[in-house]
Amino acid sequence: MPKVLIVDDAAFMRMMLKDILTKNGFEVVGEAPNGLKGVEMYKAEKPDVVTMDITMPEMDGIEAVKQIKAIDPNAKIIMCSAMGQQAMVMEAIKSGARDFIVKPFQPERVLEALKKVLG
Amino acid sequence: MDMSQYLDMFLEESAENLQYLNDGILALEKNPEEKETINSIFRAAHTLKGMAGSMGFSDIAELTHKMENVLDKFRKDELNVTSDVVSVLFKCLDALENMVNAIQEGSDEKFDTKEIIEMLENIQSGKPVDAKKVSEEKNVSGYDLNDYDKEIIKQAQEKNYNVYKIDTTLYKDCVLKSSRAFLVYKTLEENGELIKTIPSTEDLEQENFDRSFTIMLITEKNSDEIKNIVMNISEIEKVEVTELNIEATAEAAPAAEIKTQTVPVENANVNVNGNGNINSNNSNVKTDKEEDKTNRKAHQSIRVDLERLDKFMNLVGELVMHRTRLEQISTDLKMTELHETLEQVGRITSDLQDLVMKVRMLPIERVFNRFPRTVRDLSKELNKEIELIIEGEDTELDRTVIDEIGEPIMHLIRNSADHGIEPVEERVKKGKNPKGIIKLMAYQEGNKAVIRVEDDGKGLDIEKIKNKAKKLGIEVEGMSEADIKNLIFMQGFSTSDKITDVSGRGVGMDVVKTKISSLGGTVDVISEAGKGTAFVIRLPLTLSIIQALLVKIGGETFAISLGFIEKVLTMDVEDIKKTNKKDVIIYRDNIIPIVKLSNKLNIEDENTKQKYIVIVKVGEKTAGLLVDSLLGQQEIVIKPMGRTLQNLKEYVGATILGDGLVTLILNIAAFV
Repeated sequence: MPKVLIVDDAAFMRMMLKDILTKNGFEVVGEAPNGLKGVEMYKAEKPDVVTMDITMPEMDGIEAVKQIKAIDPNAKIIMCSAMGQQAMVMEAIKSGARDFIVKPFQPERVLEALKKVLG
Repeated sequence: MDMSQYLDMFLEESAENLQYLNDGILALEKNPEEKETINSIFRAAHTLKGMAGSMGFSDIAELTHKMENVLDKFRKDELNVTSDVVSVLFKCLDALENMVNAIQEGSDEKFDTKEIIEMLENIQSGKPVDAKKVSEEKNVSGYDLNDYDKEIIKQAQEKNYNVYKIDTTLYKDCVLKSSRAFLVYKTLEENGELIKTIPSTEDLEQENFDRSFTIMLITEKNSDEIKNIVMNISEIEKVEVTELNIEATAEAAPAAEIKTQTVPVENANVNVNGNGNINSNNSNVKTDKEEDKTNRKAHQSIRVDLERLDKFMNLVGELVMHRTRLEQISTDLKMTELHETLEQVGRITSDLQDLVMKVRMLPIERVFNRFPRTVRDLSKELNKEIELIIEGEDTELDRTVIDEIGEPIMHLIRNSADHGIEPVEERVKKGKNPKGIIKLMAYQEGNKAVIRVEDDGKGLDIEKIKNKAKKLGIEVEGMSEADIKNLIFMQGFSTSDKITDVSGRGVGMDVVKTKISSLGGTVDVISEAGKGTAFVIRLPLTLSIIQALLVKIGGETFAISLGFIEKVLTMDVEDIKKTNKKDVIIYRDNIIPIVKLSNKLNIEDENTKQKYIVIVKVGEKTAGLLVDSLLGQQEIVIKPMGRTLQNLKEYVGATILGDGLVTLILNIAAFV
């Protein structure tokens, strides 16, 4: 089962993503409410893939991507973006994010992105 | 993306194409030299392949692809039409027919196509192919490469790098397309060197493209690897990797072969159902299919390109326009005989107009039928009990409206489920039925179609809206309660305490409103605290021909849709009063706000004392538009403003009058 780390400041979002993922054969190994915690948990859990919200307190998703990439250049990170965040998504891609999904989430799109990133 | 709705069309068209192929190959056997036959069967095979690929029937697509390869050999005179080859082709067609029939009957039967594919492959590779022809230079003209680019390509090829043209198509409903495109070329850049993108990277980043774009790449990787790299990005519908080749020593060869690999990504429509299974699109279509197996029999219908219907509509519109002119002339000339004939013509044009309008209409069921699932998912997601009641799904609307209205309705439903309907405990406490109800209704009202999204939830909190309005610096003093409630449609207006992913970011409602007004409609909210909220969408039945009032402001003529107009008054300028710094008139004891169109449109108005006030009603709001004079009523054909001007919110489009004058049609909703 592929291991996923969910980083999002909204508990609701984490719950929803977790639901989608666990129902479809992924193991959620950690949930972090901000980028800082996300980086820490990445180090501890070494997940196969990370879903990363963009706007978060403490440390935003883009900074977190940079830091995770610095630790593990092969890290697979999927950004969770809202409409209108083009610029930030591009920034995240430049920093090494591998794909992105757009809220409101459609489960099939989430799964598509994860599966494709995992190859 | 739910493909099941296209299934009927796919089946119908596949049957047609197969028949065509059968006939064509028969003809070919009799007359092997006939180039036109080869070309047309090749096209039919290609169409079939494309359709099957998009529908996710990969086995059909693969078989057709192999067949296409063989046909291609005929086309290039690399293979002779022999009866052996024809027999294999027929076998292949039979297999395809069986597969299509299996889909039609909704059976899950799998067909073993290996043998046929093998035979086709043998045919294809059996003949020793002239080496020169295979390495034929590929056509690069038309991609607008400059000498510098060409030089780079040449050098790269000399160094044995591959040069590819990569055509990528995104999902139809892909959002943040610019970021998606960015991701694609960024990823490709990691695997080689970008020579060129069409459109330019700037345009891609600014979303100045539809959903396809082309990238030219120099890389060490082969086309399969490149294709896989792009396919491993989500929301990509199709990737085509084509080898580019500019040998300087090009002989004047005939239109060259371009080796193309079309990979319709197995429309990664993953169906997530409760028990945790993931069905790939393929089987997904099958389940959908089983549900409506009964009404599968092909309808008696033909498919017509919507564009042609649009043209048809336009022509009828223009006919109507000229009829009106003719009638005017005949009245002036007082020729009874002419007049009688014209009346006949008038009746026929009216019928024609009705008919073409009806042809474009579709039942709104097409949009509504996806919402039960949405509501079910939402109730699970939000942990609320919600029932969706749908009424009037057979109400018909213009095709364009049907295509566009889904998203706003979806938004309203999400909103109702998230903010409207209370959690179960709260409902029980209030003595309500624990199960919340969302009602989705459609019906016709005069020349408008009305869609209502109602919930029996907690209703809008007017105090909250007022507070929010104050925070945003909006003066709510003197506004009616209904007006205050309608503030929720403003940009950046969300009163939700917590932003959930379902709704509440404050971007939604204004998007809903913008979308609906772009369709010429209006949306209003009616709400009662504790009882619930209703969103009322009013849409014109047709978008192309409307009855309009032509008015003059300064030297300019404008058209106003009669659908909005309540009445027209003549007024002395002095009768316009000011309250709260706003212009109003008092008409039959009602205070009606006045909109000075000349100010709004930056036009110098005529300095006359006597003016006209066109009283319009947009949804629940009434206002008077101040104009200089009236020119009369006419049927007009709406022509869209085109891409460059589409951001002009003040106009819904333009029309050409009988005398050739181009006149702008005012978007009343933008002024009121």
